[in-house]
Amino acid sequence: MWAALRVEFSKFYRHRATYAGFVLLLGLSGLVVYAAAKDARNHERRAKAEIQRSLGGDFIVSGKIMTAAFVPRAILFAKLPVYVFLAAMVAMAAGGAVATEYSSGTLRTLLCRPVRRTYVVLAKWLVNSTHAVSLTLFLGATGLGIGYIFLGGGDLVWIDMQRGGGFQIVPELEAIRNLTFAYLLQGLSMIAIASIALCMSCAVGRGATAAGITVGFLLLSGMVAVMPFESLEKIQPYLLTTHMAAFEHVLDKAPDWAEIRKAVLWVSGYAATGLLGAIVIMGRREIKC
Amino acid sequence: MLTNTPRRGPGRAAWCALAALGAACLAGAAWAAPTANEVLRRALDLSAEVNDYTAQVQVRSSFAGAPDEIPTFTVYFKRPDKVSIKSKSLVIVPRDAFTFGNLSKRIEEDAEIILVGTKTVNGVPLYTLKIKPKEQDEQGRVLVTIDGGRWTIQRMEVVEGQQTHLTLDWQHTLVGGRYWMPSIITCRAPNVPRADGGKGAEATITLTGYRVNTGLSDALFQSSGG
Repeated sequence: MWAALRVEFSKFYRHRATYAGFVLLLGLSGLVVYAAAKDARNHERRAKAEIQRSLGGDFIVSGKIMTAAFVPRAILFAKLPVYVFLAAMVAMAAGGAVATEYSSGTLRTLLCRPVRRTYVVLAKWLVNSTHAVSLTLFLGATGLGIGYIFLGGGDLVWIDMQRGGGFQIVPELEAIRNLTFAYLLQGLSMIAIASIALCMSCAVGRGATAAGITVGFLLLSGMVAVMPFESLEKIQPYLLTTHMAAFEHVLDKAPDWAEIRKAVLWVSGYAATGLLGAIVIMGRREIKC
Repeated sequence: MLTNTPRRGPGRAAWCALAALGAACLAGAAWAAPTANEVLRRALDLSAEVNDYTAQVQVRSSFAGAPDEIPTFTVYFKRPDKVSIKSKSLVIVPRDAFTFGNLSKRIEEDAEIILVGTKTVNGVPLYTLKIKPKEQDEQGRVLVTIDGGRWTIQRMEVVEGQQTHLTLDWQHTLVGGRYWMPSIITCRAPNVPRADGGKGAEATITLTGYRVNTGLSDALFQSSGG
């Protein structure tokens, strides 16, 4: 097992393509910081006016609103960067894990050695899970790091439009701690996506197809969550995207920990199902040496 | 039979009683509640000696969304109503807390000032004034309670229609043996949500380290949150 893991890690990080994801995420963080810095003055004016309006009196609102902590939070709450951009990169890496090797024939060579297929899948899953978590944390860290350079430190402040425009101010250190936790939980979501992609990778012959199916599944899940039909509302509690969204509430002043625990269990369930599916399909697949 | 007794003037006792009555009348006149304008003038005169000040501020609050405690920040005030705050954290505080209730500005506006209550607490008279715009359609008014011993503002209520928007309670400290400055201000906003989900948030503002009349520059108040 350790040998298989070592081989997989070595193969995975030897590819230049592996680092393309990190470069793209760096670009994404830079873009968000650039936009935040450009719009900082207007955003601060709007946010301060909104806070004053919500208090209904002559209040002084002083201090920075657009800070470094704002960037990783904005990336997380914009959904698309995580649900589509990051998820697509994780799915592409995991989707190609078995399918690409199968189509190129290297999988046959690998299985000629005395190594169990389960171990091969487990090794690939571990490598891709590590990659998924590292990509997620990298996204948050670069957002925060570039944010510090161009926006400076300070409390995390946002206007909670979904809850009647109330404002939230989280002290800087607490915000960084909560953001780290939120990104770690989204890392778990990315492990679930990597698991599904790996399962698809075992089932289909092309890496792009496996990645496409995984991202398609995620988009479908996201679409079902916003469609205003009662019949679809019944499905929502079982969707992966529903539980991924619950992780954003880690940043609330009083998070609903029961809801977050439930989401962790559901996402872990998705990850376990994906992995199990990959092991079963790989075990039954006919691969001749 | 008539006797011709010499007529006597009022006795010593009568003169004493008369003198006591006169003194009482004079004292009464002196004690008689001052008018609303007099009370306000005395309060304004007291704070008028302060052209500017700098103080260190700590805030503890129960406002929903705000942290329980804001790290110490510096507030700068300059007449008539300029306030600047220098803080690493985001600060949300009522302007009136740092502008002596913004009384001078309130009466600059065409306002009607009425003495609505007088009471004595621990031997100190407290005067409650109602300041409201002269226009009848205006619903806003401010109730100000002034300590008749020191002429400091003790309490202020900002009322709109039937609702109290904000209540400020002041405690004062003598700075430099000359200026009565706010030391603790308790703000209550009955309509603002609390962190625990209820209504009626409260903030306690503590001011220390005063420096009064140091000649603060106007530049300090440009592009500030105040």
